[in-house]
Amino acid sequence: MLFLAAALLSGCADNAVLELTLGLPPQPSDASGPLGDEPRFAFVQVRSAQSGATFDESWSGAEPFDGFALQDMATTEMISIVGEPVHYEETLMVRVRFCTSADCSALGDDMAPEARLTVPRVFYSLERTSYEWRINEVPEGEPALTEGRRCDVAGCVAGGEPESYCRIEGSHFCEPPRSR
Amino acid sequence: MRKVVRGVALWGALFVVGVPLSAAAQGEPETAEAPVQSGARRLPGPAGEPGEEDVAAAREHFIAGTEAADEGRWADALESFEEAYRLSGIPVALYNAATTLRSLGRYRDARDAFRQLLEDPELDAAVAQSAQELLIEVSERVGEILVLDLPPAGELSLRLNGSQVVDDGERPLSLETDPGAHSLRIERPAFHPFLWEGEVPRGGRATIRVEFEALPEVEEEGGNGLRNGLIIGGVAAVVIAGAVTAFLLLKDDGLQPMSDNVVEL
Repeated sequence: MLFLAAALLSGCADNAVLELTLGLPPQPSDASGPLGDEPRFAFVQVRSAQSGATFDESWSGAEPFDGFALQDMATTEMISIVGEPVHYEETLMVRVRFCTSADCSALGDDMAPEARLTVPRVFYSLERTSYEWRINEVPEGEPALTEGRRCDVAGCVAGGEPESYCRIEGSHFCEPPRSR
Repeated sequence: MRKVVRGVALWGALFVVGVPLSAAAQGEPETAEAPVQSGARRLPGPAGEPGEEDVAAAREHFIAGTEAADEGRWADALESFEEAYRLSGIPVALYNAATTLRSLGRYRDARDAFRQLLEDPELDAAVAQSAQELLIEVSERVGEILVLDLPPAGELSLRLNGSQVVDDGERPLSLETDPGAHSLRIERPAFHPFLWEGEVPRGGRATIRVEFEALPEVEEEGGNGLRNGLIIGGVAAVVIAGAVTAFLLLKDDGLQPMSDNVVEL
């Protein structure tokens, strides 16, 4: 058992998890509109600013799961985003592209409308946080940018829903209070 | 966000005007093991007329609570205001405890605290007006878990978020709770425990339909030898499975994602 305990202790790693609640819009119903009546998938991509990614360029690389098919009504999906220490103080960037194929590879998907989210800080060492982002409709034209606030990232409060997850002096509940 | 009432001068003034509270408003001390859903939670006040030392200590707790609230340390603030009220019975400490519970999102407890405060017939009119408004607000935010298909009370053990729940026998069983994530575990002899985890919306209801799965029966044939062998084998299996599970859970890796859609940055 001592061997087992030693093995366990030596294997403990530092990470953090953001549980993202993603509200997706219904499938566009106006067949004559700019989006037509093709079924749409919400293809989710997540990057940390630490990677050097920007919204001005497409994000390459395989994504871990296919896009979510839009339904006749608004739906909600849960996504767990796991960060490591190098990501903790970096802005999180999320891009949802409304493609006509589940892996966003169909003809024309490179021009798919998209919604974007940035949140300045979401990760705190060995803490589970959560954030809710609802996209009410499939954007038309320019990508829709939502700039999330650090103090809206939920976490580190037992059994409740405070109106803000920051102290009055500005520190997040998941980090130590700032000295006055 | 509505702030706590602050200031030593106000404390003094309210103390002179407002106390002592009626016996009905003071309530009985609450034990740490008190089960949830056992009626309204009451914050304990002093057993009798508070002495000078208690009043002085209460004032210190009140000031500490105000400072903690200013810094957003709501849990610390609540502890201080509760202690100030326990020592002095002064209504403003109870009011601040109630508003702090609201800030913590503990709307059910906040509602009960505002109700307790409003039982005081000598409560300052301005405080009563504010408390009444906040009572309405927090009451609308309390959620409910409605449990359907629950067998009759008596042999069941219910735990909500790890705390024992009083089953009053009403069916369907309604459990008041705060919005957010909750877990409910129901144990019944000879059945696998029923476990539910989910969200209760603010001011809304989560409905659960309970289904129990019967445990397999152990054959009696073969006498004590077979039974003992099964017990020993079972214990050994549990120990080994526990060790393996602990190893698999902890060998890695800090926190584990909760959803099936996982992005590792």
